[in-house]
Amino acid sequence: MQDCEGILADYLPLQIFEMYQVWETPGEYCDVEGSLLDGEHFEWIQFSDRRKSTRNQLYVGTPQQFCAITRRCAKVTTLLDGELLRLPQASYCWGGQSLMLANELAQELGLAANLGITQTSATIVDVTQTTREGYTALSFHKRFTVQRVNQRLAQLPAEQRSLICLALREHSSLVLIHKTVLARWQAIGVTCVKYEFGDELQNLKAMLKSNHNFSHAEQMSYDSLQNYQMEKEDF
Amino acid sequence: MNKLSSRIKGAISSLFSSEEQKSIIVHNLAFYQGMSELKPFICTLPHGDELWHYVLTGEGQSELAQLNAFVDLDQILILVHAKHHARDFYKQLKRTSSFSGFIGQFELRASLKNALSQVADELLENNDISWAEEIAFKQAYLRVLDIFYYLCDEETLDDDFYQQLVIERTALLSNQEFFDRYSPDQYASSEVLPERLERRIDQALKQLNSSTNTIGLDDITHLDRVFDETRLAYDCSQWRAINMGSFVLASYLLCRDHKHKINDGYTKALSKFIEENFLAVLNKSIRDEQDNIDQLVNWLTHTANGDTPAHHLDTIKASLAAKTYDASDQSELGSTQPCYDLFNSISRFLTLLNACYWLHATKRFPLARAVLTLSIELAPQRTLSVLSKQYREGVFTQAFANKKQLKKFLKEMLQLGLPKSQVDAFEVSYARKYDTKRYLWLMIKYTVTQEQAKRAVLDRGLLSINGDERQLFYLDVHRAERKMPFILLPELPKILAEQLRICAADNCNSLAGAFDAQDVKFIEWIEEEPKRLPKPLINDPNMLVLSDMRHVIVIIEQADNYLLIADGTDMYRDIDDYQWPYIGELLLFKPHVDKDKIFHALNNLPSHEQRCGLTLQYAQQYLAQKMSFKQYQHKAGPFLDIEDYSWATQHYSNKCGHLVPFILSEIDHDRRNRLIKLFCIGDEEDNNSLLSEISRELFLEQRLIAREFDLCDRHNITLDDLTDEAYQQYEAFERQFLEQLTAMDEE
Repeated sequence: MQDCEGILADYLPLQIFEMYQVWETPGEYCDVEGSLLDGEHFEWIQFSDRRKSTRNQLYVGTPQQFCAITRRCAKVTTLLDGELLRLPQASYCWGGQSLMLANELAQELGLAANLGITQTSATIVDVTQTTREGYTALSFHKRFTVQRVNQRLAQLPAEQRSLICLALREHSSLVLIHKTVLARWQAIGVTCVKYEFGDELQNLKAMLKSNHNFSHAEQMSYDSLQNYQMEKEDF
Repeated sequence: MNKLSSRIKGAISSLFSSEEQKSIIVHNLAFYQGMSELKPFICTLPHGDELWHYVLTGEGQSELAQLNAFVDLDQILILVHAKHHARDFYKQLKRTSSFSGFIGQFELRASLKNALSQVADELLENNDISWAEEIAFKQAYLRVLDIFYYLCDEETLDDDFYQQLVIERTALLSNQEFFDRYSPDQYASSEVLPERLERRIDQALKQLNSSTNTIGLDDITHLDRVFDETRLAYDCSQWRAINMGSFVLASYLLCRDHKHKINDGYTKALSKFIEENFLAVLNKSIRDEQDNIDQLVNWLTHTANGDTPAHHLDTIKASLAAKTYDASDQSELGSTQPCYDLFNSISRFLTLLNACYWLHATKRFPLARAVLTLSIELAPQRTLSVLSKQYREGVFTQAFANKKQLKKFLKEMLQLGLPKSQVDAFEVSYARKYDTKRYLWLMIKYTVTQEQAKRAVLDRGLLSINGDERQLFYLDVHRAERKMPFILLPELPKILAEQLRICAADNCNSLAGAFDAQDVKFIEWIEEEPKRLPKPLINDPNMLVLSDMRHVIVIIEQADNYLLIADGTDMYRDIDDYQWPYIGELLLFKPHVDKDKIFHALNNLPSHEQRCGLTLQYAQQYLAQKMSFKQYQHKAGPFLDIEDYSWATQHYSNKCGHLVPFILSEIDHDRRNRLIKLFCIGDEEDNNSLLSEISRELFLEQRLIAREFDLCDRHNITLDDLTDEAYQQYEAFERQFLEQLTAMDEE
């Protein structure tokens, strides 16, 4: 972060591009009815919570099966015709306190115990009802103040503090990622997170005082399922 | 960590002089359930056994610190650790957290005090232990909190713990000791305000700004808690908005500085902030409630500057008095207290009063003095009530923290310039609710005072308090000293008029009252085309547009349609339009009723005000035995709607005077019964409910006169408190009373 001294200068916000819509018919963007997939098809809950009104937001290491928070989508299954649905390598779990990462991303992380981040091995049942292995749910149990980061986490080697969850205003937080980890993700071709940040998103003091939620990057739309699969964004 | 006051340190060293005694205490300590549930949680932490030993004895602290055993506790997630190693404590954490599933450590912190409540009960509020144990147990509790403080990343313990350890009767630490022990030391010398505090200040500013009510002791305690922590918190240059919240906070902090004789850069900045924003905040708080504020602001600024204002205060008073919809609303306040919009219960001006009170204490802001003077002049009881909240606890109890505080407050109010009569009246009103002993003393003092002038002081003040409280005070005076009459007797006509007004029937019911019951099909409030009336609506050629009877719709049912006779619903409705009136009270007559008779009744129906006047006149004639009950019922009945009427004050505004004190203090039983009968003109059910309610009161009053219980009990006693024998007596009393009242029907 540009305005920080100490270790926070080595971090950037972890912002994941959010799925907005995958349209069924190219060119017909205005009708939500025409959308095949949206953000809820890529937002995860524990499978056993899918019919419950109260759901877990944090997972503590016991392997879990997850599914999308919304209905299955038979039409997607038909259109894919046996092809696997592309899942983002990083996405959100329901409630905003956990992230879902593909294992190849999670493996790049070093997370010391006092960061308060637990890693839970995850399988995902996607909207085509296909079970997908190889994911990790990251749960953020703590939110740190800047002072605490500088006082305590600065003592850790950089490779053991890949992510830090900062407390913003009363009920919000911001996950920061070490620049070296972000660079490695970029190098291995991860496309669903943001790498370029303007001044606004590198000014932590302003962010700490803002009411804005900084956890999401821009929304992505695709004008057909085929384009989504090929990561050909329409706008 | 673990800085103890010297008194406690001394006690502990002597306490542990005997190894045997120490061992017994440690054994006892670990024996309690909460502690035994906690034991597996702590013992399974890294260096767990040593930490548990430290909790029990206080020993090994420096060794543990050398091993980083405390600091490294931040590697543990409380809930996860409890789940794996201490199931009972885990259940306790889950039970008290009010979240399902796993919750973040930051959320768990907020419910930690509840999770440790059993431990706190055992260690802080244990009455079955020796003095030596008490001291040891309390210190053990602090050491338990040491563990959780480090588990929670050395975040300052929550307000709940602060209350428990510094404020409440369980207090163990001074303010400084609390922060030395449970707030990260490095902040003390830092030049940067901790974010946690910054957030709390933001929260406090938001709360003070959005507060639609006056500031209470809880708010003050919260502010003290935040601003006691570090002087950096006083830096008002960091506040983002200039509004009532920041103004009130700056005023409070300035007052604190004045009290603590601090005058540094922060004080100067706060003072400058007030000077620069006072007028703007004042203007806004007044403008939000009043139009034409120029005269008022002119009076305030001139008074503050020691100049002669352009207008006399009386002129301003007259211009401020609220223009209410119904003139009778005025009487809802104390007998002489006008109703001002500026002092309505959600007015921001009330919040400003608190700020002015604090600023006045600094002796630097004459404008604050002027605002207080105005407030005292306009609404002394409201001023007292608003300012007293700063010393009063909780939303529900609202009592002063202690008698000393009350006394101090009353003294301060006199010094502020409130008349003694107002301060005394406030005390009576307060004591009646929260301090019965004091109330009785004040009442006795009033009754035994021989000097009329002294009584007159309180009499004058009581005119400004709520009408019902004033009545009850004088009733109690009469009860305590029967020789003294109920001195409000001359006010009976006014109260009677008010009560009859409460029961005044609306236009439709008054009109229906001029007909036999079988003439009227129904009276019903409609908001759209009534489904139960399927026939078309047609207008009578002579249909009346009732400009002075809003919402009234009068219709006769005919064979094929409904005939609209009169409509007071919508002046803009096209009268040729065969549409149902949109919204109003519908009076539907049956087909046999002659429409000319309805027109006649409508044209001769007295207005609402006239009906209120007539009812009062009939009531007075009945009371003076110039009219029989049947005559009264016949004449006043159509104009009164007794359904839902109750003698109980709380049924209406508590500011409204009521009849019960007159009924209870009336010695002449015939006159008393007539007063009661005035309202017994509803159906049987309504009458029975009213009679049963008043017979209870009369019975209990009779028992009070017979000295079967005292005045204190009289305020709280209900029929449920009576013995079986007394209850039987009540039943006999009620039967006899009802017979008496029923016999009056035939007069």
